Amino acid sequence: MSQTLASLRQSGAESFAALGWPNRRVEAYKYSDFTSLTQADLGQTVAQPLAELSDQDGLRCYKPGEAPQALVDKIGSLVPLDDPLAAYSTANLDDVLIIEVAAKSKLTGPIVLDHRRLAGQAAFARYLVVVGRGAEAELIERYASNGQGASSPVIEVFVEEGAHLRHLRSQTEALDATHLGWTAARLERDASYSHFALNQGAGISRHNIRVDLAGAGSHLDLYGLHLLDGQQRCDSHTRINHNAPNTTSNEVYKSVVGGSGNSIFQGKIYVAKDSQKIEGNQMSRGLLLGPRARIHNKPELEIYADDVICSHGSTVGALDEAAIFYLRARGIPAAIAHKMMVEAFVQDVLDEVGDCAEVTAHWQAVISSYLTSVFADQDGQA
Amino acid sequence: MLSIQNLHAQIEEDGKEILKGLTLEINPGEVHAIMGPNGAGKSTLGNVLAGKDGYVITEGSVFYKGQDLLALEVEERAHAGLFLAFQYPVEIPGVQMLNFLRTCTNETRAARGLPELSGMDFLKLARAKAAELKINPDMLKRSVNSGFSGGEKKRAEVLQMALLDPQFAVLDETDSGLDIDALRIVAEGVNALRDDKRSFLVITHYQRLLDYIKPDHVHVLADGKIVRSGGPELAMELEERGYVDYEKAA
Repeated sequence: MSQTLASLRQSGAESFAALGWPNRRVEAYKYSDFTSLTQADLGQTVAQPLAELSDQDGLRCYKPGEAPQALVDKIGSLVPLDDPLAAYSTANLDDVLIIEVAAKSKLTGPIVLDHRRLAGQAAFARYLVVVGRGAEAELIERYASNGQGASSPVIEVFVEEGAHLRHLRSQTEALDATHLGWTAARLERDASYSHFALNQGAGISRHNIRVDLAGAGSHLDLYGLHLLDGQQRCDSHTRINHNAPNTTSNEVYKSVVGGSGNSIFQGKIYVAKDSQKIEGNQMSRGLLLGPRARIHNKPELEIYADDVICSHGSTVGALDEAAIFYLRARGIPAAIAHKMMVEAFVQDVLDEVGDCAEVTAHWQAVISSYLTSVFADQDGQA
Repeated sequence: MLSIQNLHAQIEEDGKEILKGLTLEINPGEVHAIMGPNGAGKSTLGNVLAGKDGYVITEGSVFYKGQDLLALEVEERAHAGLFLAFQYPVEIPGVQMLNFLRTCTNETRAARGLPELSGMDFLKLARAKAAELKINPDMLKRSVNSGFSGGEKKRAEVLQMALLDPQFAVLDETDSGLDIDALRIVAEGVNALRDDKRSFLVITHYQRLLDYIKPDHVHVLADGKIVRSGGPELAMELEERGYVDYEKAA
């Protein structure tokens, strides 16, 4: 392990030792207690290979030992070690993959980071992605597993001046797994970044997202879905920092919760003192499929500039009974009517996922299998 | 076709009785109009026939083609050939009209033992029926009833009726919110479906609709009961005199 990684790991360990697992007295973990995680929930640390990427024009991958110092210096610079889960992952990091998209290049295919953790294991994937000036890329990040244990991945993303990155993340871990993920990004002048997070798996999950709009004119789109059933608890915590003027962000999170599931969304938009002419819009919507399902949405705005447009909206409701009756009165069986209504609820997020056939097919398959099982469970209870 | 005997229905939530012994007999091919003052129970009758939640039937029976209609699920009633044209068609953002129409048509066909229509065959059928009702084909790409004008919503109801080929249709205040041109188009769509087997129950507050959809029988519903029945001339009388006599009775 290089000197950099060793010292980063040391900092993570010190921070985690001081912070410990967060409980609900910590504001950022108001709805999620992690103190009851057991060793079985976390799994045994086994060195996991990071994703292997095939070569394509404009794409370079490095190990920290081989990378230019300017890249190595970026490792750990975006993820705040005062967050206990970031500290926990950093304290256990084993290796880092540095992925660089050359300036002005447009990748022909997506960068795919695929992870399949085995039951009983703990995994700590760690990536640094740098999309060079004026470049364009698509990044697919997937986490799956076949049983208990935890994945605690951290990815840091730099979108340089005028660059564009679409980042599609899916978490479909086993229902007894734990997932503690971190995504941190920094956008330079006129950069744009779209992040999509599909959260369907894991018994307990938390996804922290922090995006710094550091350059004037940069734009962020943040979309998320929670699809929960049974005893699942899924917590997305997002923070968007408008640290430069003329920056824009658009955030939409939707939760569908069946069984005794518990969906948590905490989203903060922060506008720094001199960040004038910014626009930040946030919407969180929840759909409860049963009497024991729970949704906590907590939007927050923290604004220190005066010439800004910021909005947030949050709704939680059940399926529209009038619409269900209308569909059934037209001969559509109740079970199909319910599915159609949930599909309609998530459709606008799915529309934004866009043209990559592989991604769209994956998202649709996850949604479809979720709907089949969540309504089978509901019928079973009835 | 439809036989309603001494039907009593109350609102589940507060136990308020709305239908108080309604009796009505409709034969194949007949068009019956039910008129009445506001609050007489007109919409409740349509909702109870279609199977909407929120009502309790305390007494009486409804038989449809010999089967106990009230024992059927909402969708089973539709499959059996009952159609309710809604007074206020529900807007369903995110569900595309074409997808909705194809799903309801094919589910209904499957329940009736008919083969499913392919996407292409269905599209042709839907476009042809839409054209008859002067519906812009772009409407098929929009979300169900979302942002539709009053006239578009009612034409979309008639389009659904044409595709589902019901044996018995209840039109609940289909004239509300329509101008004369839209009313004429909707009525033509309904009249095109009239034949000696299909029956209609036209629920309306105003006589105007009955100029376009000529009923065989007209009934006055007041305070949850049919208080008077007659021919089309009864509608004319109501138009002249209003419901004042019946409101007093109620």
